Order: sequence, then C-alpha cells, then structure tokens
Amino acid sequence: MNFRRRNLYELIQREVPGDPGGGQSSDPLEPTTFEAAIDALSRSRSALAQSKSALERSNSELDKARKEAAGYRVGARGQGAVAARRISGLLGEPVADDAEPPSFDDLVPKLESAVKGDTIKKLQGEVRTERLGRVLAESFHALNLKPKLARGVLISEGHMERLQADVDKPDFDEIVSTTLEELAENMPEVRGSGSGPTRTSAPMRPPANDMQVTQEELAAMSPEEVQKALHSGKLNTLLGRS
Amino acid sequence: MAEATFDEQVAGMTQESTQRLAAFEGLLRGVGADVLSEFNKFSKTLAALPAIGRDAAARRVALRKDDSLPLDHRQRLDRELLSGVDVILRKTPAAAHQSIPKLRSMLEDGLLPNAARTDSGMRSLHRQELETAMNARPGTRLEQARRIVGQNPSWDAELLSDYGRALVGEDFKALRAEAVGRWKARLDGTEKQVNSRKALAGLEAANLEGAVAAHVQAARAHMTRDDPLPARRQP
Repeated sequence: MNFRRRNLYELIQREVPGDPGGGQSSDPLEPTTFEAAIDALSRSRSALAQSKSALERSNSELDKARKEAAGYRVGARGQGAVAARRISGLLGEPVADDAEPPSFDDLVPKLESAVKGDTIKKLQGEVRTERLGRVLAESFHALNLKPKLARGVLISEGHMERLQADVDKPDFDEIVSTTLEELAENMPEVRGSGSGPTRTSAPMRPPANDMQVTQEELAAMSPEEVQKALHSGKLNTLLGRS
Repeated sequence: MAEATFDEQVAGMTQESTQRLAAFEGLLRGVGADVLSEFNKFSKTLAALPAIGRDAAARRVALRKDDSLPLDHRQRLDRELLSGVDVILRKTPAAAHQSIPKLRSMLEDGLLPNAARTDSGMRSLHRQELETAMNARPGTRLEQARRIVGQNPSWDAELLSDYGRALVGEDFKALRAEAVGRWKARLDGTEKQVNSRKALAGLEAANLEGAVAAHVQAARAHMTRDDPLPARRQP
C-alpha cells in the first residue's frame, strides 16, 4: 500500500530531520512500507510534542525576560527622572514633581556650560588671591613692614576682607598702599622688616634734664619747635612738672 | 543733682569740640598716612593744652604752700612759670593752627587725580589730547585750562602735575582751586578720592579752629583756678 498523504510525510520529514527509514531507503519521500510510515509518523509526533513543550518553555522564558527588561526600563526611567530633576534644580531650573523632567540631551549642554563657569570662577578666585598676595608682599617690602605681623593686623581689623573685595578695582595698588601706610601710622610696631637684629636692652640716652628748654630758648623757638619740645617732654621744667 | 566740679566744668569746655574731632577722625580712613599723621599730631597737641594749664596751676599752688623756700624765690619761680606757660600757650596753638591748612591741602591732594602711577607712554598721550583740547578753546592758557578742568580725570591729572604748572605758570594756584571746586562737586573717583571728598566735608564741619580755641581756653581756665573772685560789678 502506498502512502497517499505525501504532503504530510514531507512535512514530517522537514520537522524531524534524519532518516525515517533507518537508513535503508535512498529516497526519503518514498517509504518502503506502511508500518515504516506509521513508525515514522509516531516518532514525528513525539518529536513534535517535545518541540511544542520546548517552545512553550522558551516562550515562558522569553516572557519572563521581557517582563524583567520592562521592569528595568521602568526603574531606569524613574531613576533617570529623579536625576534629571536634581540636575535641573542644581542648574537653577527646578522642575515640579508633576512636570515632565528635561531630557539628558537638553541637560548636557547646560551642565557643560555650568561646569565651565564654575571652573572660570575658581580660576578667577585663584587669580584674585594671587594678586592680593603679590601686591601685599610688594607693599610690605616697599614700606618696610613686618609681613606676618602686618598681615595678622590686617585680618584682625577686618581690612583683609575689604582688600579682597577691592582686588578688581583699577586703583587697588593705591588702596593697599594707603591702607598699609595708615596701619603703620596707627601701629608703629608693624614697622621694620623683622629680619634685622633685635635690641634686647634699652638704648642709651642722656638724662632728660640735659635736654630741658630754658626761658631764653623758648622765646626763640618757632611754634613747631615748641610743639615738638612739648611732645618730647623738653618743656617739663618750664611747666613745673617734676 | 550735684554741682559740677571745677575740673568737670573745664572739661565741659572742650567736650563738644572733642566729639567733633572724634567724628572727623572717623572720616580719615583711606585718605593716606600723611593726613593721619598730621591729624594725630594736631589732636595730640590739643589734648596736651588743658594739661599745661592744670599742671602749672598745681605747681603754683605747691609753690605757695612750700614755706621751706624764701618768699622772694617762690615769687620768682611763680613769675617764671607764668611767663613760660604764657609763651607755650601762645606758640603751641599757633602750631596747631598751622596744621589745619596742611590737613586741608593734603585732603585736596587726595581728592584731585594723580598721574604719578600712570605709565609714561599713557601720560604722553594724555598730554597730547590735553594740548589739542586746550587749543580748541579760546582765551589765555589759564582760561583754556579752567574750561577743561573737571571733565576728564586723565587730563586733570596732567593739568595738576608739573606739566600743568609749566602750562599756566603763576596761575597754577587758581587752576588748582578751580579743580578742587569741581572735584568736590563730583561723586566719582578712586577710593582715595571719594574718602578725601568725605573728609574735606568733615573738615569743614569739625571746626578745627574752634577746637584749638576751646582747648586754649580750657588751659587758661585751669590757670585761674586759685585766682581771687572778680570784684562784684557795681550796678
């Protein structure tokens, strides 16, 4: 009996690769016997059932993978939105919770310019600090001031903050020299480079009485000389001060 | 309320002027050390004046009470003391009075633009500009300069330097006075100029001449402490 369902047989052959006839037949489309065809069909059925179960498992795994990926996508989108909101807020453009956050493509150029601006500000700050230090050092040297003491007094009296604010002014050099000159006038202790020898004993001076001004000398003195003599104590005898 | 003592009454004579001086001193920030130095000298002199009278009066009292010395000798010492104090109370205020125009001049120097820190090449350019601007105006050199002064700080700096002095010659004082008037009325300038402008306004309000007079009077008042009361004026 010839196998009449030739198309079904071809289909089975395609689904189940291999020799259905056990390698005895040279033409796979031509089963030798009906039993052989039944046997091949039963094998094909079992193979089909295995393939079906494998396909179901694969579909199940694929479904799990899809769900997992979707979960990751949703999670990533939420974290990205939080990050975008935060970055936008840091850039000075806060986003409301119910509003759509800006995309990263929009944020990147703004972030870049902000970072560059911060760098420029930082560099400007360094330049200002350097300029302040240089001008102060030059002025300390020019005015023969003790650098550490003068710097400390500038800080304690609040001059340093004012000078830091004035660094960009065109007359900054004049401001520094004026401030330091006034400081030296009000506080003579800051004068002197501090590198020279320090006197540990009182300087030798002639007795005060030897320098006292007499009536005759007073009469011949100019007002400025009298003023100086008064401040230096040379008029004490004339004034009855013991 | 207890009546004020003699010392308190004399101190009251200088209280107002001392407050004005303190207010003026507060304005002398950022005007230059030379101004500060001159003011310190001035205020130190004023502060010393009442003490001169007080110490001399105390010495006179001590001489009167000191019976260990002959009377003639004590009288001679008293006369010498009075004579010396009188000279000192004349000459010391004169020195203080001399400080006032110096202070004013220094503050005016701070108010006016200064070319000392300008690059020599820039100064040369400014002088050329100034020369061109002056030649475009009619009149004598002083008239030309007076029309220009107060318009441009760079030009003013040159006009008020030795270059300007050479341009206007003996009229330089008049030009400087004109520049001071113009720069007093302005609001801009460097920090030193702005501070000097405030200090100049404060100088007028401080009335330093009055402060000198008050302190001299306080010194003389101390000297009259033990003087006999003046005779009652007859009606």
